[in-house]
Amino acid sequence: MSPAPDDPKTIADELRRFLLAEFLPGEDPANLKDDTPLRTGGILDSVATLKVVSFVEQRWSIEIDAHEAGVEHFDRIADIAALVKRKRGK
Amino acid sequence: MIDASVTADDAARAARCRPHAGKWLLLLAQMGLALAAFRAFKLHELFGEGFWRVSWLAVAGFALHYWLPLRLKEPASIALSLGALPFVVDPLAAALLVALGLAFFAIGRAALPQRVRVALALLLAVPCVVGRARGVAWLPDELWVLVGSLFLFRLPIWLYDRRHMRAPPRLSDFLAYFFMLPNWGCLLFPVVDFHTQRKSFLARDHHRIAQEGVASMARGLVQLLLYMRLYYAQEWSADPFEITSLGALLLCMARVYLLYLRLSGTFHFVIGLLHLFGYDLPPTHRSWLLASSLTDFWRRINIYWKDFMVKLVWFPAYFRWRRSGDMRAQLAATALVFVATWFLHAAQTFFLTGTFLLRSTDVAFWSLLGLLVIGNLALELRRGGGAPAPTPLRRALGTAGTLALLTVLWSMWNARSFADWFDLLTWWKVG
Repeated sequence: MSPAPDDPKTIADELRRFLLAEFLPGEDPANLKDDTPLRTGGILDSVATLKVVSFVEQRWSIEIDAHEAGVEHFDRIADIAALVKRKRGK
Repeated sequence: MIDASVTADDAARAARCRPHAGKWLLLLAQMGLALAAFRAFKLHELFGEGFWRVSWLAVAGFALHYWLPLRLKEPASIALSLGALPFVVDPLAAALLVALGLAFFAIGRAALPQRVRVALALLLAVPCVVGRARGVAWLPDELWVLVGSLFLFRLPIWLYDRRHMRAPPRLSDFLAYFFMLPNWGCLLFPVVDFHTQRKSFLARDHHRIAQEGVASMARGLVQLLLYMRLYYAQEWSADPFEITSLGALLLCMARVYLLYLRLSGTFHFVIGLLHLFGYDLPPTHRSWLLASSLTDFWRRINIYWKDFMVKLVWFPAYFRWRRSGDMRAQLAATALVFVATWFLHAAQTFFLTGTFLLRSTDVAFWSLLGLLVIGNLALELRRGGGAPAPTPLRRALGTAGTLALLTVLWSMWNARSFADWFDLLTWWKVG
């Protein structure tokens, strides 16, 4: 898998596709917005968050630290996309 | 990196708290009903005058706070909370509590290596532990209980987040996080996450946040009323000598499990009160009686505790060990979470009662629950994400089985000793 483009919208769209396929099968994509709460809204638990971490690390060739896996960065698609963008920019 | 400032998105926040007299009145009317129910059902007699005082203070505070401009909203809620403190608790305890808080803040704010900050905070905690264990004649015991309630869990969270802050922490953020008004009336307080609280401030339209707060208060009230009914239910005795049939035993065990409604009800209520001031905090419990497996139960009951453990124990342990294998790291991290949960609950009991909880049934409860959750997690991980969703029948059976198992485990946990528990279970021996 080649690293994906760094455009936040592209990152967000890829994340949305992954989240829908993995955790919300059958859900209308329009319902999963960039600011939908994933962790605090009960869509992702801690184990599911690790799956997203693993996906993000592989897809964008970055490494996530323990403190970055929390609600601060992994509660909304927009936050995850911003983290990916920032880490890719380093 | 955390940006702890609440002023980062002020324009959007200001738009979200534009006043509307009609909506304000509607919210106040609902809160008035909630307070009337609180008083009519005499909840204050069981849960304490302090709980009642902070409840009406919060509602009265909301009535004024609502009309303040954004820049004054949070300072006003901090002022209300600090101003109310000496009226709800002993004034000397209140003053010392604030002083201790400021000392912790100074340590956290200082440009020191994180290790030194943690060491200094621990050093400051030592006299508190000694004070709680031995007592200090001229200090009210209430002080130590409050110290435990405010700092035992929230200080580690704040120090953890402090490590990753871009800028030095602000006093207003610190005060808003540690000195929350409902805490004065509810010493067994939910472990609110620092970052979640800061980020949640007026994260949506204030009316929607406050309305959800009212719903949370109502949910809490209903649960507390159910708790009261169960608490006073003489026919559901927990005395082993009064249990003479299987039916009585089952009722007794169900009652013991349902007494947890006190905690879930209180948490719903106090989180609802925080919503009134613009904190869009997530629910603390999600239909925990409907858990369909033990991992599901862990995710639904006391969610703030679970998130606290995930943040400070599970993620750090997993990320440290993940190179040894994903599944092994997750299972080992889960085991560590249960050890930490047992220890911290015992430490919490120490601050609340003065005695470190070291009871065989308590150790057995956390060990068994931990082993069962680890087993459940191993099965889930082995099945992977591709497993089909369970059929309604399978889910119903899972829910019934989980409920039955937890009811039995809870009765063991609440027994003073294994001998007491066996006396309870062997009802046919009575008489």
